Amino acid sequence: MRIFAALVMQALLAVSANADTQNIVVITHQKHAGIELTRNEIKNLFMGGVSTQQLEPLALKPGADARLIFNTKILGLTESRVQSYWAQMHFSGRNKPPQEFETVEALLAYIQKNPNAVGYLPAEIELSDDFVVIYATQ
Amino acid sequence: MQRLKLVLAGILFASSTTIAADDSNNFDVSGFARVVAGYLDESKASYEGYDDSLSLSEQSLLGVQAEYSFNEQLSVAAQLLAHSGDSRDSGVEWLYLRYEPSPNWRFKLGRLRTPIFQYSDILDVGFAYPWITPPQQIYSAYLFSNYEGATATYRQYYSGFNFDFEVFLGMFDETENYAGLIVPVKADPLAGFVFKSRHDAVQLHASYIRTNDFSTVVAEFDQFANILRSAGFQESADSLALKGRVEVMLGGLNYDSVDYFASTEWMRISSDVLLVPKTDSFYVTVGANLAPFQVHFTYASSSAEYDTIENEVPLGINPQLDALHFQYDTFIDNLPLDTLDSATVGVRYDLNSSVALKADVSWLDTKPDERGFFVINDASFDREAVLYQIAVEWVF
Repeated sequence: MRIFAALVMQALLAVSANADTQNIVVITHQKHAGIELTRNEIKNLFMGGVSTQQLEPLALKPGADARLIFNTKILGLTESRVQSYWAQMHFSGRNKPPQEFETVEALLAYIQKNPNAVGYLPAEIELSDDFVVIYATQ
Repeated sequence: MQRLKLVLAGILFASSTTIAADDSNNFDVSGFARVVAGYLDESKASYEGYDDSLSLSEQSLLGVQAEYSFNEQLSVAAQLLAHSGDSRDSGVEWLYLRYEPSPNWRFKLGRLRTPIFQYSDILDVGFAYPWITPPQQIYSAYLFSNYEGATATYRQYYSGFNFDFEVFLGMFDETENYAGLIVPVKADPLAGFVFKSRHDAVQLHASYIRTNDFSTVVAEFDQFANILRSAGFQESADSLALKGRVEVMLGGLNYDSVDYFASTEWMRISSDVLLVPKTDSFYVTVGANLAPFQVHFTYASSSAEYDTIENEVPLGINPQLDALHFQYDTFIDNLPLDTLDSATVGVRYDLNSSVALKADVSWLDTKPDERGFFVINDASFDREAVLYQIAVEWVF
């Protein structure tokens, strides 16, 4: 039991350290250069709320570090609560979760073809001129 | 309504047969399943079907949702449920046509789940909530689980606040289990609204549902009312009426953050139907997220009472009337009341993004002489019991 508790604590510490020190940026196509969203507006967009700009949210698959940071710093939810929320939305016929991508490259390729899409990725990734940052965590 | 169901089923099957040739992105099949084991440490009563032998069949279920989109605005969806419990029917839970002309508006038509509680429209999807069994003081007193009709939702986002306003109108016509009696229940028309607002980590929820035409049939009530009526006691006979108004009001508040979560719902049922007592219920849940674990504590309470009805039948005139007087009192006194206090401690472990394991322990306590959602086999039952449950929740 003690070993189990220690393992849990270690996992928890690892998770919070990760989320605290690393950052992500929320990006879209350069066509939308100039728009800025608040953290609350991004949360609303990624939780299926109505967005005035008609933007399409894109996520990374569960397990990605950037997703964990996004969940923690933007949504303010754990992965488990995010999954519960989408199960509720999906099976009550209200909403669908954002489309998920395996890699940052695939996500960027999608935004290149679909300029209204909005995604997030690790802050340290260098972006080409095709994309603009609309929000950065600190 | 039967015709509407057939039309919707027709559309769904017609569209599903064309998927092979069509773009398969338009067709989506998903589902949920749960296996729940429970044990009640009590031999004199059972609770939600659980007694003092381990049971896997009370709440275990499998649900499949099929959805076909004709285009971005129009889709049809069905949810089929296979349930192992005796108190629940298996079959079509949802079957509706959805039309979303803009991101702000959503319309649904068909057989729908009543959305008035926070989890009422996904009660079967255990993966979506922390407990194994949501607080029964609210969720078991759930009068109209489905309806056939239409709903319109308007959604808006304004300066950090997300608003959702839904109105619905329809009818309910099912066989229900009230006070241990299996009776046909009809509510036609049934109308209500749901208001939700979310601001960052806080969500507010208020809803109202009403029918002026609730009716049910219980032979014992009718027979006794007839005896009273023929003896000339009209008011006492009318007090046993099983037709009338039923309304449910609900308020809820939720807080969700990375570290903690809390939720509360409060409900009031009022009615002029004897079989539906005045009920006030609430629960408060607080929990901590220790990813991948969640631990939570819930306190829930309900109190129910019947309107005091004066016994019209006079005493001391003759033995027949005396007998009728006592018979009326006994009849009213024997109506069951679901007053219950409970405390639940639970833990949830998310194995991955689609499977969760849960364990809950609930301490249940009701007043002497009251039923408190128990089915009592032995009158000497002390009205206290502990329910142990473990569950696997799955979405796919």
